[in-house]
Amino acid sequence: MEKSGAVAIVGAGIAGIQAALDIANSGFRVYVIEEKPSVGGVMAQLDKTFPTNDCSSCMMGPKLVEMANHPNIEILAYTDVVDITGSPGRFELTLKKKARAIDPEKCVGCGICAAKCPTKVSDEFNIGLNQRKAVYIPYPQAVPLIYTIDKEHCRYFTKGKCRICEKVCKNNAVVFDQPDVMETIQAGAVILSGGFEPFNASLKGEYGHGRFPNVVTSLEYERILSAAGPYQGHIQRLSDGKKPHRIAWIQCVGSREAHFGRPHCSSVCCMYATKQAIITKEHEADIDTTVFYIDMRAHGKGFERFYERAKSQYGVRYIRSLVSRVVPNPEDNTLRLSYAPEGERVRHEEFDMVVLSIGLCPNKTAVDLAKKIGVEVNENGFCITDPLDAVATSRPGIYVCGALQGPKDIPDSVQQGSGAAEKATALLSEVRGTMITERKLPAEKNVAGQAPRIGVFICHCGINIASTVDVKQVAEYAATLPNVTYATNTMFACSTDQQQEIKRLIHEHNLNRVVVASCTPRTHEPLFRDTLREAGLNPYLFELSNIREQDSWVHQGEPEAATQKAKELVRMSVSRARLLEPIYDISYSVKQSGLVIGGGLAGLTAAMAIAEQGYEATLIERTDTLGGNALNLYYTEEGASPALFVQELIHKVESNPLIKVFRQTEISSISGSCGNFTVALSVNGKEQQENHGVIVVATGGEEYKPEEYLYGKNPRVMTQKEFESMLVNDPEKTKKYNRVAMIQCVGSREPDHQYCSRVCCTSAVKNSLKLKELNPSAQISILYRDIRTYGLKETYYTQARQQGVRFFRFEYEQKPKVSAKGDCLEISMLDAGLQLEVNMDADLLVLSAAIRPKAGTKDLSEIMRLPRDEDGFFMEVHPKLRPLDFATAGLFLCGLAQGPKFANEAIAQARGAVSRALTVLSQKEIVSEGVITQVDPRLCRACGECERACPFSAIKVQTVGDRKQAVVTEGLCTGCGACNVACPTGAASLAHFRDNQVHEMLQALCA
Amino acid sequence: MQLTQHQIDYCMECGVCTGSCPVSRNWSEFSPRQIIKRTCIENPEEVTKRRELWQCLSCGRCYSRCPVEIDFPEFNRQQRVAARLQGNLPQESHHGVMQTISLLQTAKLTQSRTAWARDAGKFSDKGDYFYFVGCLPYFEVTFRYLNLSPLTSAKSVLKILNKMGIEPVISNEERCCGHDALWSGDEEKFEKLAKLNMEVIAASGAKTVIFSCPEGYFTFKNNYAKLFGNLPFEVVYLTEFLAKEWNNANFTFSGNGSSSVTFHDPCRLGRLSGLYESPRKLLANLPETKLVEMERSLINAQCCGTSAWMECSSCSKSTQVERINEARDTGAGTLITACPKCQIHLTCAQQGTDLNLPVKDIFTYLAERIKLD
Amino acid sequence: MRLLGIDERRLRLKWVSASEGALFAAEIQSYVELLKELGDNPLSDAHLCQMNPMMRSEMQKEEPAGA
Repeated sequence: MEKSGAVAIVGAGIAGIQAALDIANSGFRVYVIEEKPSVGGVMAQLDKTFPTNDCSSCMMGPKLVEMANHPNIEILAYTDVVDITGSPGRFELTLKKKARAIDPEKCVGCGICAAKCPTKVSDEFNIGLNQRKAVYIPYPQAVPLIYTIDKEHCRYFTKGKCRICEKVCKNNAVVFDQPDVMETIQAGAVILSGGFEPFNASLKGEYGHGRFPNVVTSLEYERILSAAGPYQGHIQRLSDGKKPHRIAWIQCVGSREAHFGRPHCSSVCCMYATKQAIITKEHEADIDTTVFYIDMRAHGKGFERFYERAKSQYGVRYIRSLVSRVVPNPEDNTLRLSYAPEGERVRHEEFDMVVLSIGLCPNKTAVDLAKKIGVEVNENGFCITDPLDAVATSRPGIYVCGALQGPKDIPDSVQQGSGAAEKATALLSEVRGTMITERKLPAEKNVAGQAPRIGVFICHCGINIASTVDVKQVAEYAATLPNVTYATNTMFACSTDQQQEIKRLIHEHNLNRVVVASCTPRTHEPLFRDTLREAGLNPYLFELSNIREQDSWVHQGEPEAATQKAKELVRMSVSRARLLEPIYDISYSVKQSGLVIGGGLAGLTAAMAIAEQGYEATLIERTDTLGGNALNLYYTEEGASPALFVQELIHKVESNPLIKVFRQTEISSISGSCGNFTVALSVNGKEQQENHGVIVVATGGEEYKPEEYLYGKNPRVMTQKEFESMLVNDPEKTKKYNRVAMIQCVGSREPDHQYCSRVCCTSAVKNSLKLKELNPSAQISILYRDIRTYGLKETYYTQARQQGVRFFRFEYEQKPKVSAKGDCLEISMLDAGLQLEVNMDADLLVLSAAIRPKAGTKDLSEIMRLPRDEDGFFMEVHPKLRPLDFATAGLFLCGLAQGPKFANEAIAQARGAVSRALTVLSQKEIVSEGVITQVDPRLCRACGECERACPFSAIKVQTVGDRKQAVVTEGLCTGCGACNVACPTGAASLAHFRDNQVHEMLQALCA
Repeated sequence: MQLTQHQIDYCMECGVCTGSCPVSRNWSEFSPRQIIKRTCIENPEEVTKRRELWQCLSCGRCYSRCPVEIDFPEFNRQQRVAARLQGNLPQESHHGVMQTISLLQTAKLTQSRTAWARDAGKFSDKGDYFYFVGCLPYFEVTFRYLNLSPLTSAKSVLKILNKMGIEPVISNEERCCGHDALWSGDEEKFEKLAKLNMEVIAASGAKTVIFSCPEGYFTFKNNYAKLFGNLPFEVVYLTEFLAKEWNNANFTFSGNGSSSVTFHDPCRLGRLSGLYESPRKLLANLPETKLVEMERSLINAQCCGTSAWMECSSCSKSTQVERINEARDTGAGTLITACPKCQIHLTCAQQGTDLNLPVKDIFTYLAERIKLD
Repeated sequence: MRLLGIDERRLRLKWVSASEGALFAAEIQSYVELLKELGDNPLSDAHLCQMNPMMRSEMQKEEPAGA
């Protein structure tokens, strides 16, 4: 029986959303099933995300909208999965589509039912900090924008009364007797991404959550911080609504706790508490912020710097001690915290507010479903997966990603989402394209020669704009501007129903230009352009005026001036709109093969994944051996063997007919663009050229060779990798070491390498446990600054302590001193906990050395014009939401080249990078944006100034016919406009940003 | 001169204008003959909507050869005045920086543009002779990237005048003469600039205004006179002045080696003003300088290809390269110009090519060979 | 600017990244203070000439309320 060309995704948080988009963009149909009334998961509730402090819903918004508009994605919200039967390639899911009591075909999300509903209910989206109505949407930008009746509280459903919503709904969308509907769907693969629930903080009675009014959980505090939350972003105490002056965060609430059966670390709390403290300071600089913690886990990309900035720039106070007691003062509801700082007696301190950093528990319905369908879960409910294949559950064809697999942050969830997507589509590669629908668009109207008829829409953006700018006044003003045919104000210009309204008005008033005054083009310009296209207008006849980020948000204290400024901005946009021209995107063919640079674990996995998907791959490796660092990575903390795994993988890659492997090969140069790269290779010294549609960079990393602690000078000092080799290859010799010391953070977390190498704490723990196996009486001392055995790895740290491994903490300013003493070593350090000098002798000193980018990364980055971050690792386009993509289209990265990580993370990332690459490879033709420079050959003097100015080598003087002139390589042009400035005659002109358009805007402003 | 329908009717459609036009050689769709004919037939609003209006270089070759003396450049200029009001505007080069500078000069401002002169020689703010420097201090900044120093010409002029015993007036208040504004149809800007310049010259008490730029010379001589009536001062181009005063000046020469040069007649000096002899006489006066004429010189000289800092294009480049090759064909080592813009255009065109012909301003050339200390 | 006699301090060039909001705000505030000290634009009457004549007549026709 043929496989199904569809994938079902259960759980629409950020991991599920990423998976859905990757899969839908590579030729498959996707069912996104979500138990809540709308998608978005916990990320929709966050205010800002670390370490960039981007607004969470701004980043997620475009993905939600892409999902809502995607022809290949069907969102089944407010739906439970009852059962999953079948086998890989042909699963059948039994779904219960719960009754909202509202007809989704008729509801336009106008909100009048909620406005008139008399019943107030605790709002779960705002964690009970305010109320919603019994008929509701979870938040204003919810996708899908359909209301739901909460039957547990609705007066009609509980008492048979009321029915006001039914009366006021103009579309007769209220259907009280709407039944739950059972439905079955077929899918070739299933991805479980049910996410997490926060730990129930009231279980930790001593902290008083639920009893003391000013003790809140971190998720409640997110809602308090959010401008869209219950207090509009004003930080206030729940007891009296006053601003707190001293806020304390208590870490590890419901994590690293044997008591509640939660021994694992939740991975994200150290960072989110730091983020919350920083954002608090940005809101109100005079609030004192204190974080009480055990270890500060800043193990991801950019996290260490974020933590250091919190301390040095924002003055966040960190105290290494958990809080033992919280006592409220009944008169003013302040809280008295008791804690025991290192080396000191118990202290008590008053705070106005306490935030509990609660841990992540897997979503209960997701765990129940997993158990029901035979997917194994651990004692906490996280899905058990293959140690080296983090997305493969115990049931073939069913994959997992995100927090359901283990507590993790957003970048890791996104990467894993892409990784699970790749596994799912690899299974179904032969039925790619069999279940997708082509988007049907109406013919585009020809507006050439018509006078401009401009429609102007001024958005309230809820309160974001309307609370400062008099939106109605601006709309009235817009209506007076020349060529404006229609002007109005609207609550949420970006909502799905408003798109329908815009289309309708375009037809009704025969508009041929549209101006929306709202937020930044980065969020919704593509959406509005799509809307215009669907209404038959060229998408580039659209102009977005930013009256939020550039007006209401920065002039909150001056509503009159802000309203005046909004009028001026709208006037500018209208003047430009008059001169907008239709632009046609360029489509060009995609070479259906991929190049992988680097033959280590990540590179081999990527090449294999490309082949599994049915495409050709070329793998190039600089040395003469494949396998990279994995060759001597003998065991993981879970007992898997990357060394064996990679040997098998090398064999599979070399025998795969779709993969070509070149050893002793480097890249000499690269040209072309996404879909068609031309790469000059130097294979064993000989030049050779290849063409590929996509390129995956997996050039790896290497262990830092320490210069400190007598490394290289004394034979008893070695690195963790060397120690591991010794443990495996010469156990007899190794077990004779009775006193072993380890020093952490060697070469990491230093001012000129301000990053954490992520794996070393776990490495030290795993190697200690290995040594204990060989020599149970060995004395092992680990000298550390923070122990970062994050997530489920925490249990290994616990095991190590249980087996007698000792841990001594030192501060950065007082590093241990190592000296040779006879035929062993003496190590002295200041133990930070005791504030006492500790001296120890050691037969062996193992240094947890940092991971550095592989030598040659800088040279490759120059040849390929790829950016690197401050630490020399390759830089992805966005650390949070696009960790696998380079800014240049068609280029992807994975593995140690992107940053320090574990073997299984590198594998998942490699698969994820291929999943991203498939969004290009799976198409025979791709379309690139038409906003690029065009050269008027009549005006061009072939002077070459444009070529000198272009940072992308996208414009060059070439011989065309009998003349020389500047020619643009369309795929490379990013539309930056640098050549326009350099060109002395005006021959180089950026489509959609013509000189006259910009000039008109400036004239309109100065008028 | 306002061309009447009657005068345009004189056109015999002989085609000499189009055949002589440097733009037509590159862009056959630009045809002065057809433009004249269309004006006879089409609606005036249609005529002024066309882009070709802006491509004419106003070099005057057509006018100088037309059997019935139709002044095509002036006719075209008047069309430009009307075109502007319809929103039909030229493609300004260098992002309109020169147009912006002259626009700003129509306001009340106090320029600071004589610093170059303080090191070069003596000048004052009142006197009989007014040296009209023109746009050279601004060209010095905007054309640095061509490794040109237009102010070298001004410094040379000052040194030569000083050597002749003249301390000219050099004013901070001088404005652009308005030539470009006029020729691009912006009569309002031209008049504002002209009025201010007249005030500045009157304040200095000068009786003679000396120009080293043919466009300034031509504009004052013809257009300022038209606007203000008989001018209260004499307008003279420097080569004329030097040629006349040469014998009294008693120059001696610093040998700078023998040199073979060719001379490019600027349109505004040669064809449109009829001044061909004085530059040649000056060059002939120099020992060790041999002048070789280009094939097309004097009244037949070809325009340097760009006018009024607008519509610079592949056609301009082609015209410039043709002229440079013509200069090289003479075997001369240096191409001498008597107009700062000709120098700039003919230098710019050589960028990115392997043409390597030095283009020198005549006054700079003279100053290098005359003993000035 | 020097040649034209325009105070050079009326031109400011500063590199600010999108994540340096506080820096941007501080820079603009200090610039506005300086511009207030330097006084009104001495060339403000010159700009009308430059505008597209068609636009200019449109703008002059409708002086919208409160503009």
